[in-house]
Amino acid sequence: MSIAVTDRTAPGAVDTQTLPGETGMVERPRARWLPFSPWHLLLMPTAIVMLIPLVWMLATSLETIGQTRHFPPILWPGRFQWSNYTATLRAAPFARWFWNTTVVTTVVVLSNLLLCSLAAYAFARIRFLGKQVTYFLLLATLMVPLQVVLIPTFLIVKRMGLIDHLGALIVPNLANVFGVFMLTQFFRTLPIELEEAARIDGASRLKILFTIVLPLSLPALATLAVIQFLWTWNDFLWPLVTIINNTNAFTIQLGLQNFQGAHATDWNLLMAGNVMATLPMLILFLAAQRWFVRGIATQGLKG
Amino acid sequence: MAGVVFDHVTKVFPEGTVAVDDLSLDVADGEFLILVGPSGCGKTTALRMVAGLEKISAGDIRVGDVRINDVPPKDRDVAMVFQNYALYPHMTVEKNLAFGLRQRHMPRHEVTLRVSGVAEMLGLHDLLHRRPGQLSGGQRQRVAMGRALVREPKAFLLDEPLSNLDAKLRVQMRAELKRLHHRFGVTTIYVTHDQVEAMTLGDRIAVMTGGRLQQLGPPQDVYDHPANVFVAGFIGSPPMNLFAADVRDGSVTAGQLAFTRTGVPNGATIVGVRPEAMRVNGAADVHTTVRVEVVEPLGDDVIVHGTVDARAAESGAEEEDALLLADGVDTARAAVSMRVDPATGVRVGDEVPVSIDPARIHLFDATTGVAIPAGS
Repeated sequence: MSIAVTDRTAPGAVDTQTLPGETGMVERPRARWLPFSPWHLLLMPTAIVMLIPLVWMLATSLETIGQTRHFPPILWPGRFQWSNYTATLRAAPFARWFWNTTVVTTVVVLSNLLLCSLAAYAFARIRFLGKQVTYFLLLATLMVPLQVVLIPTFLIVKRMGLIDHLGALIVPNLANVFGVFMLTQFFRTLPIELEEAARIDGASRLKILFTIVLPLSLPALATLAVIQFLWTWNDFLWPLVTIINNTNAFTIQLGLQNFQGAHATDWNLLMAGNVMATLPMLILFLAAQRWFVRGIATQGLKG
Repeated sequence: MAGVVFDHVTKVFPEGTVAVDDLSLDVADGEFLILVGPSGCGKTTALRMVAGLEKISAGDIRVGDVRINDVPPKDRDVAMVFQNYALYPHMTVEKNLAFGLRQRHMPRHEVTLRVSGVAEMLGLHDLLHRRPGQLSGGQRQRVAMGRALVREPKAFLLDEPLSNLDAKLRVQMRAELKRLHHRFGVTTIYVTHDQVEAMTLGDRIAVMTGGRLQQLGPPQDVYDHPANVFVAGFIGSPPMNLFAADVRDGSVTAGQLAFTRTGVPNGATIVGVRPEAMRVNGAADVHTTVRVEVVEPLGDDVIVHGTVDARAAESGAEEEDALLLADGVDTARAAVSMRVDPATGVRVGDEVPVSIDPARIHLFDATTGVAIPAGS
C-alpha cells in the first residue's frame, strides 16, 4: 500500500488521480465552440428585452418634450436635458413623497422582521393547542388575493381613523403571513440541540430567540427584509385606496400616478420621477440580489 | 453536588411509544454511571428527562433531595454535553463558555475568572477567540465539556459525547473524561451504545433495552455475571456465544457440548460461553470442535470466527444486519467466536479442538432469558 504513495509536489511525479486513459474520474476540459455557455444565446436576448423599458424610461427622462412625442421612440436623445429632474422636483412635493415611502417601508420592514420572527418561532418550536390548525389557516390566507380583502380591510382601517394617514399604509402590513411561513420553515432547519443547550444553560424562550435563533437566521431575515422592502416600496393599490385627499401622505408610487394625471403630457418629467422612484429599488436589488434569489429558491414561492 | 434518583420513572410519548418503562435507579453522589444499550432502548430519553428536555410521564426524578419533575431545565443545575456538541456557531469559544454563567447574571469578573480557569485546564486558552467552525472535532468536544464544567453543576449529563470522534481521539478523550471526573468528582450520567466506553469509564453500568433496566452493577460484575441472556449478548466484544441446549437430570447437552450441572430444571435452556473461555487444545473438561472460517489477528489476541456443532440461540442484542447475514446459514451449526493466543497458529479451514472450563459456562432460562446461577 505505502509504496503507491507518490509525492505530488516532486517534479515528474505521477499524479495518481489523472492517470492517462482513466475516464470518469477526471473532469475533462469541455470542447468549447463559444467563449461562454450556449445558454447565454437564449438568455442575452431575453435580458435585452427586459432592459428595454428601463432604458426607455431613462432615455425619456432626459429628452425634451418634443422628443418624447416622436415616433418611433428615441432611445438616445443625443443632448441630455438634465433639467427635467429639477423641474420634476419643483413640480410636485417629491421629497415629501420619498420621505413618506421611506418611513412606511422602514417601519413595515422592521416590524415584519420582529413580529414574523416571534410568530414563526412559536410555530416552529413551541407546542400549543391548535397550532396545526392556526398554522394551516394562516397559510390558507396566502391563497386569498388582496382584492378580495381590500374592502373589509379598508373598513377596518377607516374605523381606526387612519384614512388619509400614513398609518393606513403601516398598520395592516405590520406582519404578513408569507414572512411567518418563510421564517417558520427556516427555524425548523436549525439544530434543536442548540436551543436545548441554551435552555439548560438557563436562557428563556425570548432570550433563545434573540441570542441563538435570530443570529443564526440572518440569511432568512435578510431575504425577508429585501422581499418586504420591494413589496412595500412598490405597493400602489393599497395607498391608492386609503390615501385619498391628503397629498402630504402620498407615497412615491401614488405621487407618480397623480403626477401623470395632472401633467399627462409631460412624459419626460414623469419618467424623471419614475427614475428617482426606481433607483433605491435597483440599488437594493443589486446589493441584495444574492439573498433575493436564495429566498425564492429555498422557499419555492413567488416573491 | 448531589446524587440523582430515578424512582419508577416512565416516559410515554404522545404517539404511544413507551420509551422508558418503570426505571428505578440510584446514582450516588460523585458516581460515574453509564447508561448503555442498543439504539432506541430509552437511555437518551432517560437522560433528557433529567435535563428537563422531556416531561416525565410517571414516577419521580430527584437531584439531591429535590424532586425536579416540574422544575424548569434552567433551575435544575445540571449540565449536558450533546452528541453533536451543540456549540453556538455564531459565538466565540469564550462566549460559548460564558453563556450559561451570563444567563445566571454572574458578575463579569467572576465569569472571566471561571472561563479562563476551565480554558486553562482543557487547553483551550489559545482558542478562546475562535468560533466553533474553526475548531477540530477534538477541540469542539473539549469546548462542549468546558461549557458544562464551567457551570460547576450538581450533575453532568453526557449523551454519547465521543461518538463523533475518530477512533484514536476517542481513546484519548476517554482517558481525559476519566481524569476530569476524578478531579471534580461530579455525579455523572453517561449515555453510550459503545460497550468499550461503558466498561472502561463507569463506576457502575446500567444496561437497558426496550425502555427497561436489565442489569445494574460494576462493569466487571456485569461482564462476569450477566443477569440475563440480553446482557450476555450485549456486553462483550465479540459477544458471548449462545447455544440452545437441553437439560436432562443435570446433564446439559448443546450439540457436541456436554457437561453436568446440578440444580438445573429439565427442558430447554441456553448455554453461554465467553469467547476467551474457549481454549484451543486446552485440557478443561468440556470439549468441542470449532471449524474456523475467519481469523482476525489483533496483535495481542486473535479473534477466531467459526462454527460448532450446536444450535444457535439469540439474545435479542444482535445487530439486525448480523441476523440477516446469519440467514440461510446451516442451522445445524452455530456461529462461534473465540479469543485465542496468536501462538496457537489457528488458520482458516482448520478444525480445532477446543475445551471449556465448565465453571465459565453460563446458563440461562430458555423462556425468560434469566440467568440460572451455578450450583443452585
